[in-house]
Amino acid sequence: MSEAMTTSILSELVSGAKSANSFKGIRSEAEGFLADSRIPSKKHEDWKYTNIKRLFDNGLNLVSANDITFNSVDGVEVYWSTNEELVGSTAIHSKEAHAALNTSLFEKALVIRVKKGAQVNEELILQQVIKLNDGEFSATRVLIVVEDNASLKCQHHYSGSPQNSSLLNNLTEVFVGQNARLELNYVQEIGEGNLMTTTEVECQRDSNFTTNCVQLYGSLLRNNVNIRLKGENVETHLNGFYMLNGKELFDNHTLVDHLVPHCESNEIYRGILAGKSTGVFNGRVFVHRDAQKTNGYQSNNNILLSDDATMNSKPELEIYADDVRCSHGSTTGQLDEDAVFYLRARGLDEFGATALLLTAFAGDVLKAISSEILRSELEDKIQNKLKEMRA
Amino acid sequence: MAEENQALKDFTEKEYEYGWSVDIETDELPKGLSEDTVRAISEKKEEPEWLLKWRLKAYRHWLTLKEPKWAHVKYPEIDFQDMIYYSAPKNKPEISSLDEVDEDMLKTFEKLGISLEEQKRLMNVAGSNVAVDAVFDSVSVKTTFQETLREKGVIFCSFSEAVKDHPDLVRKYLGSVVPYTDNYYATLNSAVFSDGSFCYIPKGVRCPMELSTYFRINAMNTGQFERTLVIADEDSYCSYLEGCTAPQRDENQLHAAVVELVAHKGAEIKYSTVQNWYPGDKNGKGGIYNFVTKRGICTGAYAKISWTQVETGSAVTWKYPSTILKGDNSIGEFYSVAVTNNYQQADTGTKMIHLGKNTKSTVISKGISAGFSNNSYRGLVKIGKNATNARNFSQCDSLLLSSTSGAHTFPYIECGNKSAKVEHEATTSKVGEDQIFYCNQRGLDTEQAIGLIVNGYCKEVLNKLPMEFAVEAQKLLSISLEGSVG
Repeated sequence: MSEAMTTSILSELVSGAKSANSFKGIRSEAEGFLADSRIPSKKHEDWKYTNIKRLFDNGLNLVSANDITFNSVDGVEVYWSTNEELVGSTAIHSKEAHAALNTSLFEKALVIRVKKGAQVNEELILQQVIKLNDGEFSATRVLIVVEDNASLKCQHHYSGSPQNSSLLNNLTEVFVGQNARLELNYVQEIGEGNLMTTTEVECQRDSNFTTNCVQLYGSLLRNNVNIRLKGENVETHLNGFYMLNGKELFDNHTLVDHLVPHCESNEIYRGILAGKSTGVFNGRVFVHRDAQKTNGYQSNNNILLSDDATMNSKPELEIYADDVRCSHGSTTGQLDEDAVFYLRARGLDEFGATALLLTAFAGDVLKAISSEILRSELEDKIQNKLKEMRA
Repeated sequence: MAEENQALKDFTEKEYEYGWSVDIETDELPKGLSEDTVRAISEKKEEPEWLLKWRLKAYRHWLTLKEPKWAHVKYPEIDFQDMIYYSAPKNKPEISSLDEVDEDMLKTFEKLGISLEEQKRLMNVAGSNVAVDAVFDSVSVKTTFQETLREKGVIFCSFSEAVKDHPDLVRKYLGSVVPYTDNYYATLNSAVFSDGSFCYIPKGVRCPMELSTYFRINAMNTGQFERTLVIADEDSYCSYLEGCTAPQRDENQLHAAVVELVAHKGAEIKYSTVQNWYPGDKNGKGGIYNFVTKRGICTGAYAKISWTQVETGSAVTWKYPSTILKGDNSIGEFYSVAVTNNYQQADTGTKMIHLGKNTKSTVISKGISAGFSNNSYRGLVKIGKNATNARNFSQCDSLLLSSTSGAHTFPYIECGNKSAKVEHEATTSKVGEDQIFYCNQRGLDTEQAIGLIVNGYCKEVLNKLPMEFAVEAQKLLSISLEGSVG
């Protein structure tokens, strides 16, 4: 929080930054916003527990975006674009510094579009293998448009082994049309690298949006999910599961913005923390004055396996309408000793008993993932991580 | 519906019952704040050098601070120069009996809605068991039952007397829980606090009666900065009550108090507040800014601090009675009912800092918002690394009585020990139509039904109040909520 930043902020933060010729409108808005703001420090309420600023302290070099690969799925158009109109139309880049940074620096946007009425059953899988070296920064951009009455299942898988002081910043904008359905799953396992992802969603009336995020490896993972319910009768589910070990820090910030009446939101985030890790959860449900008859539910459960692990949980409700039912709950604790004893009495060793209970704990979140293949892959990965946590 | 609207109208247009002022000649300092103000207050109170130094340190630190903006409240900038920092009734009574008290002042007490019972107590009526310290504007005017208490070794007096009579105790504990550097308003209070109450319970003594303080801001443009310090020595017990009112004025007045509680090994302090400062008129004009820092520390094992508050007044409330659970097996409790109406804003909650092993805390908060008001719960539960087997349970419920009001919950939960169990839950809803219908069916009109439901909703908290206050609080609630169904 030193001197006010000037328009040269971009080159100060990330060397090699230059304004590209595409998307001029939103880029200049983003740069304008950046000029008046700065990369948030821990004094910033949204960054109270997560120090992102330190990544910029030694300067980062902009490198070309790592490719996102994808499978070909009937009924889904996927292409790279430098002029797609909807990119930037959520205007998140004029609200958040990291989104502004992304908007200023991404090269081209990956556009995923499902046309009106198209029902896509096969899962679209985006593979993003991150190969950043120390001190490198890269920004990627995704736009998902599911038009009216269409449906899509999509998975975005972050992997690779970027080096410790690199940073990948991804911003995904999602538009869910009237009566459309979208399931968007994230898997984040990036070894020791740092990853900042933002998902900005707008849902139109009668739509159904589900997002599941499983975080397994990363030095710092920050995941922002903002869902704006713009039409009535929207149903939305947000789920997250995170497993932390060593010195990992995973931070989930979610916002469900109820702008209109008769919508429903459900949120379950669960995590297991071991080693010297730090977990952060901040879930916000905002019910505007007009959003009567809202049903909002939010829960965050955490299990600490070590005394050196810390969990910071902040479930928030901000409600301006009276005819609503909103509730939230947050728990942090350890496994029930009686349950562990019960299983041990039946012949499981201590690890077996703990692992079984923790798998069941994860199960409540994983069951929201409709793809069986993904689910069983994740179950294996969770078992592996549990074994590492024991070590 | 028409009937309901009428009932709502009645309620929202209900005027503040304690809004009057009494012309008592006061001895005031001129408006404004500077080092000279601090020195003048200290001089008027004939304070020792160390206390003046402490005040000045606080003042100088205050100059480096910025007003906090993080709370979920909005109010115009406060002009700290346009305020009187010391106002005392001119005839400060050195009294042994009430007869010597200024007659106007007695009328003041009489006019306080709470006075029927309190009057008797102030007048030492036999059979009453509450000792009262009344703080009028900036100074403490009357402390009753000092004799009875002295027999037990309990010290209960105004802060200025304590500074004179028990300087060692004051010096040892002042600022030990809320240091002068704590926050903007606590620092300001440390610099300019004028009076307040002081209480010390010696080892092993169970205080024979409820201790009580009444605060009232009377003079115009006056800020009230009182300081309360309660020390419960090993294995002692005391129950402390605090009530507040202020006259009706158009401009906002500032109240920035500091309360410090120290509970030693095995001691228990029960601190109850019924806050009914003037909330402003129905257009949100006037009212008290209630920016209070309250904190207790359980220094020894098995100590217990319990906060109970009923907050119905003030234009803006900013208050987080907190407990630091340092001793092993110590207990912290927080029970709160906050009612906001018209344009009132409340941002209140608690902090429970678990440091010792097997420490326990319970937080029950009930918010009720009506009119155009905003009511927020903001709380922190922090489990330190060494707080093995710490346990917390928090429940924060909000009830909305109008579609134009807001209810918010901002809990912070920081857990750093694996054996700790922390639970938080919150719900927000309105009074169920089926509940009202059920009552209607059984012959209660809607107004009574709301009263019944809300009282039931708050029962958990009201039950924690001492008898003397419970009745008053219930009355206050039902007055505040008459017919407020939206």
